[in-house]
Amino acid sequence: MYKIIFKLLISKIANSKAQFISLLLICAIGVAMYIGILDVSKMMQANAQTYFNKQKASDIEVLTPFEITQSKIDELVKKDNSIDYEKYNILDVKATYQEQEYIAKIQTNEKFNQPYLVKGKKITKDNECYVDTSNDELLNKNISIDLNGTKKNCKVVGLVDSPQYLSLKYRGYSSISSSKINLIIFTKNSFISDYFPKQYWPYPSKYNALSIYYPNKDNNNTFSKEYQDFTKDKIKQVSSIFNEKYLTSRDNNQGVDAFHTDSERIKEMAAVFPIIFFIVTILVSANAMTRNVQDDRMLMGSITSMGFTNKMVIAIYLIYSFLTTAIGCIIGFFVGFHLIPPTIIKSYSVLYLIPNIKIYYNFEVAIQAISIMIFLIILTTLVIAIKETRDSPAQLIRPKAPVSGKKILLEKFNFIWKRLKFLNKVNLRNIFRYKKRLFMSILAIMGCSGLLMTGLGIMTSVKPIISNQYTKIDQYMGIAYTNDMNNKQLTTNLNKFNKVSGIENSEASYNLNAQIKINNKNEDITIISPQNATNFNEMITMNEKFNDNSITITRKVAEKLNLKKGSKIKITYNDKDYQLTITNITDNYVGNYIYVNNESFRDIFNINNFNCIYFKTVTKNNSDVLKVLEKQSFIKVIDDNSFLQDIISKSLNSIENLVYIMIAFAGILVIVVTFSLTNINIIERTRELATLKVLGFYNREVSNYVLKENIIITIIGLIFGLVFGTYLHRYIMNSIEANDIYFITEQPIYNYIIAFVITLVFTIMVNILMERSIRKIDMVESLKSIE
Amino acid sequence: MSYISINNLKKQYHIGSVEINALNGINLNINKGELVIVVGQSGAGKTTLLNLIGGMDKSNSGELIIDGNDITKYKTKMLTRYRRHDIGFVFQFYNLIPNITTLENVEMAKEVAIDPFNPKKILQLVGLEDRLDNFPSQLSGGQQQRVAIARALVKNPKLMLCDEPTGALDFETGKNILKILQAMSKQLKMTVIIITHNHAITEIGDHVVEMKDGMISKEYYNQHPKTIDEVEW
Repeated sequence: MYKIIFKLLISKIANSKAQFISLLLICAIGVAMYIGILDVSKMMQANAQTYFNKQKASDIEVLTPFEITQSKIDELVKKDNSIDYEKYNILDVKATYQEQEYIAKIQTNEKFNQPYLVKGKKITKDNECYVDTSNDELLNKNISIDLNGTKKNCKVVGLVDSPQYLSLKYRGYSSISSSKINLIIFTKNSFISDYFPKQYWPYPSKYNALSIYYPNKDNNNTFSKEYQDFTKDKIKQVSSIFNEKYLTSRDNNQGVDAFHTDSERIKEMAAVFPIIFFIVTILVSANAMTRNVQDDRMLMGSITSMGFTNKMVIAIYLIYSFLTTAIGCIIGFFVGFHLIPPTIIKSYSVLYLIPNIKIYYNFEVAIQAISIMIFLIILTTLVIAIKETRDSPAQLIRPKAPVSGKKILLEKFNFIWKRLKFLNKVNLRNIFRYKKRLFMSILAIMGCSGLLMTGLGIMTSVKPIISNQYTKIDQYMGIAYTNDMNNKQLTTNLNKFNKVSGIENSEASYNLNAQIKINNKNEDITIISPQNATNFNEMITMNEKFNDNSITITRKVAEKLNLKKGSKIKITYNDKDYQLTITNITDNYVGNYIYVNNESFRDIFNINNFNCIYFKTVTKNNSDVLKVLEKQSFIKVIDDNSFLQDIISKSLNSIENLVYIMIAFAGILVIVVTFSLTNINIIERTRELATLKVLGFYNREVSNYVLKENIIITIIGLIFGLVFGTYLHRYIMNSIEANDIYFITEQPIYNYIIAFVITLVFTIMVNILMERSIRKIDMVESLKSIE
Repeated sequence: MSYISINNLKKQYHIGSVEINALNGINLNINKGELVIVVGQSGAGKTTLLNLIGGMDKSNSGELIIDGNDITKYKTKMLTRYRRHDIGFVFQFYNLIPNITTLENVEMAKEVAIDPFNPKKILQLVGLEDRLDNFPSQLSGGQQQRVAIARALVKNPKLMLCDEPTGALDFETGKNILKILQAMSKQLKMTVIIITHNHAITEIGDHVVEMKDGMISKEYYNQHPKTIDEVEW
């Protein structure tokens, strides 16, 4: 008996190869998408965690401008004697190689946060060092390090990544220069200990940094809530010994934190995708299985009439659908883990330096995906098979009466109906004949095209941010921050500033960081009050020119708080509330700002000074200018807009890669879904099509007859899909919304056109493919009388 | 020259590794306007012969000359054109398109014809003028077969091929159908070939062909074919 079941199963598969494979593919895509997308953030985090474990990332870093004395450490150990720790040095220095000057940090940790050697060899001698991988031009070069006036040469023997500097964005500012750190040097303690800058280091001990590690904690996963709670507790404990402002826990490390946020964002952005994929998959497979079972009524009839029980017949179908689903799931499992996360992680690797990306099978996600898929498809099969076998064998061996013809609603509108061509009428009636299939097909196409639309939408929301912000809006190259300057100081400093060769233009302003409340949460907003309103228009292009009466707010905040011209906004600065009346709203994509004319600013905040200078440079390449500016003593910090632009564009590029994957998968889904639906449609109507052939319809006419229906159904699905995609895109953009980035949520008309054309082209491609099977329909075989 | 001239026509089927000779060298001439009854037990090769004459299937060897053209030499497209313009088919199980009405089923065939009859008139001829807007499922078997005949007729074919047209019908209804076919053949001077396993029917044919094991076992002409009302079975 098992032999017979097995034989029937094999012949069943052999007879429905196309269906078997398309069902299998759909399962594979669904599972791959689910696994891939939902696992990306976990895999990113797992890779980071492995890296942390391997390099022994510390739990808490204490970085002080003071000495870390033994007595303090003793105190620490007294509180928790399980701790492990390492004292080391960390210094801001300048380094040079040939003429090039670097703003560097030099540090000596060896036990914790070990540098990971990417290229080169290990340090063996005192005068050897590593540098971070972003400075690979220095490998095997001798660099000169200025240690408090003493220049000491050091040979770079290796390039390293460090878990302390996960992101290039967050290496901090140097305390001895006004610029961002652009080089990290790792060396032996003995290299710098003799040269510790004595004038501001009057302490006997040479250590100003401490790594603390708790070996006995329950959870070492940096990205877990448990770990974060743990470090919060420990920070509290340690802060009684060291001032809290010198403490950073691993999860609060700026690079790690940014990495965490970015990785979670992917999940938020893409979570809807696998769900829709799942729904479409289930719709299509249910459709295919229904067809499959109905197709075999005769066979089932003869088996049951031979005395097999219905249960056995049902078993065949269950095994069949289990087989396709299982094979599909296995393929989906590997594609899901090997294709999607690595691609996305790779694109993030320009932002986050994690060596050795490895694939971790996240069985939790995989089991979720696979069990949902198998459960739903088996359930569908079971329901259908039970329903179909309920008929008696005698009924079964006769073909199921075709759905009887019915007039459709449109026929009631005689004035339209009578104008239609005869074959179009037939087409229309056929479309509405199988309501269930029509509904499923429309839903499936809607899902695919909606996803396509969403993918394209995310692309258009994300892409223009860089060009809009940094070419259309921001005209300045950078902002040089100074101490508060009164008018007299400002004049002197501006003079000096403008003398620097390469500076084209400059404009002083007072910038202060304040807070506003959005949905009861504090958000940062920068208040900018330029000295000269008219001139400031050359630095930033606003929708309406900035003038002496303007109080202009950027669009993101305006939309969040529902502000219009004339609305009042409450701002908190230094724990005091202020009220401003908005006169204008302006476009802005990165950051939240209020531009306040200087007179109102003085009135409201009672600040009469200036603290920064916006500047433009003559050429785009401003590194020489920056170098000169850095040496000006009155400048504290320079915000280089091109650096920011670079970082943000890298981060947006990563999102783009994700979107490409989504678009590609949505495209594949369109193909498989239309293939499967068309295939079913053709198999189901073989007899009808053969009849047309007998009547003398040419192959082309026969295909048109069926395929036109497909195209009409596709177009109906597409129209719903475009609407659905518009909303889905908006929903996703809202959910990934960063508080300081403004996304355009309107979709341009060409997105609709692209999604429409792509889906239709895919459908037509599938149709062309299907023409072959229509041509192959054998009249004699298909019309054989049932004897 | 005969309208249809069949010379040593052979057809083999392969079922798995077994070769079945469905037609074992058929020689047959049919004149224009004849009502031909092909009779034989199932498996005798009747349907295969009809399918070959109708251009639905291809032979392995031999000649099949219809109106001067050897259709065994036709490629798919030419065969389709031949079916489109020259042939009207009637099947045992009607093969109506379920989702369109009686009238529309007939109009469907009219779509591809060169010189079609008026569908409504044809339906009147087969006595279905009251059922134009009914769907196949709303008709009885006999009525459905009449629609099928109307569908075959509307194209104004040169050759009507009917495969067991009464096979699924009761006696009275079957008789009705045959009556229509006989009348058509006479009124429209149409060549009609009817396949049956019912020997009684042979009496209405001008030309009777008996088949056995893929061969013609007996062939004769009725000088005075009976009308269907005169035949009893």
